[in-house]
Amino acid sequence: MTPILEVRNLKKVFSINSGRTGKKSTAPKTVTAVDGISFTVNEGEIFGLLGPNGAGKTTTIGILTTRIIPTEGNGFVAGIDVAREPIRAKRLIAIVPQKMNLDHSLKVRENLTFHAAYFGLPKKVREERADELLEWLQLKDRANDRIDRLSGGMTQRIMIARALMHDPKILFLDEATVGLDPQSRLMIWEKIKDLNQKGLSIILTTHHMEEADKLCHRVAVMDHGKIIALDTPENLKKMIPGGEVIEMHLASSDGSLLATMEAIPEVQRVEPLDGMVRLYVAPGSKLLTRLVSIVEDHQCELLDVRVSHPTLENVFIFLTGKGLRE
Amino acid sequence: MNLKTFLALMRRDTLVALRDITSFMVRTLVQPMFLLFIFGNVMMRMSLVTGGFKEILVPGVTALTMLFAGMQAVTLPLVLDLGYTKEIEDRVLSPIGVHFIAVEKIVMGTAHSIVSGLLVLPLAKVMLHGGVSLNLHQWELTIALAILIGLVSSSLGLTIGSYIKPEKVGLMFSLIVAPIIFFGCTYYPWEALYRIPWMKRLVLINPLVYMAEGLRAAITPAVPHMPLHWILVGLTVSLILFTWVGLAGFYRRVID
Repeated sequence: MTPILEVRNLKKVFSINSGRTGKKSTAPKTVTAVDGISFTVNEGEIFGLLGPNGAGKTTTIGILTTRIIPTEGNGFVAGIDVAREPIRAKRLIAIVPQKMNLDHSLKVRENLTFHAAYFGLPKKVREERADELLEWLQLKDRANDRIDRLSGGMTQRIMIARALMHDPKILFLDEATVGLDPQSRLMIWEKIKDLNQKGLSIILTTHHMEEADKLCHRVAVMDHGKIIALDTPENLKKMIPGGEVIEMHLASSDGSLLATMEAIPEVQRVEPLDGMVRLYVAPGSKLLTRLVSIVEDHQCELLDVRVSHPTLENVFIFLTGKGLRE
Repeated sequence: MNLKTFLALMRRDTLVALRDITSFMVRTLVQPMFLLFIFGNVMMRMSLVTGGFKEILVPGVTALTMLFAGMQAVTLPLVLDLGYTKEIEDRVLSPIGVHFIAVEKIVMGTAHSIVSGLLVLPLAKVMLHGGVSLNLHQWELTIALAILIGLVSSSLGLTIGSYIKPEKVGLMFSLIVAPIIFFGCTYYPWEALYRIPWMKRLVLINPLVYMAEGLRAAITPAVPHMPLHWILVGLTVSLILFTWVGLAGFYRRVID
């Protein structure tokens, strides 16, 4: 497969103004948002960057869409270095940003036609494509509306339509479904799949594990500016020891309870958490009744039990020891 | 530069400006109308100012109006776009050098400034007590100055718009706009400041001085004014400075 995007050793260090303290500034504070990451995305792939807020996903997208200059390393879009030749790169990419940035001075349809005009498309093509996309995203009756009259799901769809107007080779979606109701989210997922089936390469960032799981061919798990794992969702989930997760919510627990649980051969790992114990166990080991009686033997009160197959969230917790949304 | 992109950006701004034409007219004309009425009509009838004052006032008020029209056309949308709505991002991602997006703002601001000048001059004829005699024979000079004034105004707007945060807009009016108006030789000719030598030198940092004096040299040349070559030097230096600082500031705000 040909790579449509290549990221080599990308690093971004931001210097932060420490604000007005009244004193002369000491050494400037810096934050390393992206810390030497490398990956490639193949043509026709949906590639996900999964991680909590502040993991460096948006900065990575910012660099690849020419809006942030990397401190070190390179990003190549179809072989073009985005920092060296931003204008050529911009023709090949499109972005649906995290924050709504539609042009309020223009109507819905004009947001699309002007975007295409900025890319030098002839009037006839602009008009036709705008109509097609509005139809496809079920926005035709909103074509002449003002932007501030639209719901969150609609603005998101318009931003997708706008991004597609200049026929990009890669579409970046930065947290494209954050804050949307489940219905709008499902619709956007469908549209993303549709676009990919037509051959568009897509890179999306998300902290929604189901989104990454359902849509992405491969997922890079990011934390603190680094990629800590990169594989297909299936392979990532295989990283979880055992293959089954049992979460027991307890009113109280003690060391001997945990030790007894750990002693069971099928239990591969015990994670004591606040008010809860998470056990990674071999699949089909039918341990539940045994675990419940152990809890009773230790005179601990059991509040809730959940048995699940690993999700990408479990993978993230397994790798970092913390949840995606804290 | 990508000309197609540049023209599309201009077409977008022209469409938005035309949709907003009523508000533009009100914003541009109300203040000069009142200024001309009070200083050039009411106070004239009270004999608080003498007849020759009108020839000082008209170029001054015209310059002031052009400065604000050019500045506002750039500053206000830019402050909102950069600080709050991020609407400009879509244009920043269009296939053109980022600096040209700011250059386009300067071009559009210049157009706003020139249009406002064209609206104020006939207004002056109407509002002033006994009319005013304007010299329109030096039309080449007048056009050249109008373009230069427009460019300086909008590049100043770019500079302010690129550096100021939305929450500081109120402060901008007190700290930048008010001193520019009152120390801009709007209501008095620069030559007459010989009585206050420190002020005569200090006001030279104010671009409005060269605009007002320039228009005096062009349309009311009988009024004593700064030598034309100094006016052109003042406007050119302002233009280079504000364009340079403004473009750098704009780039810093849109590219991290």
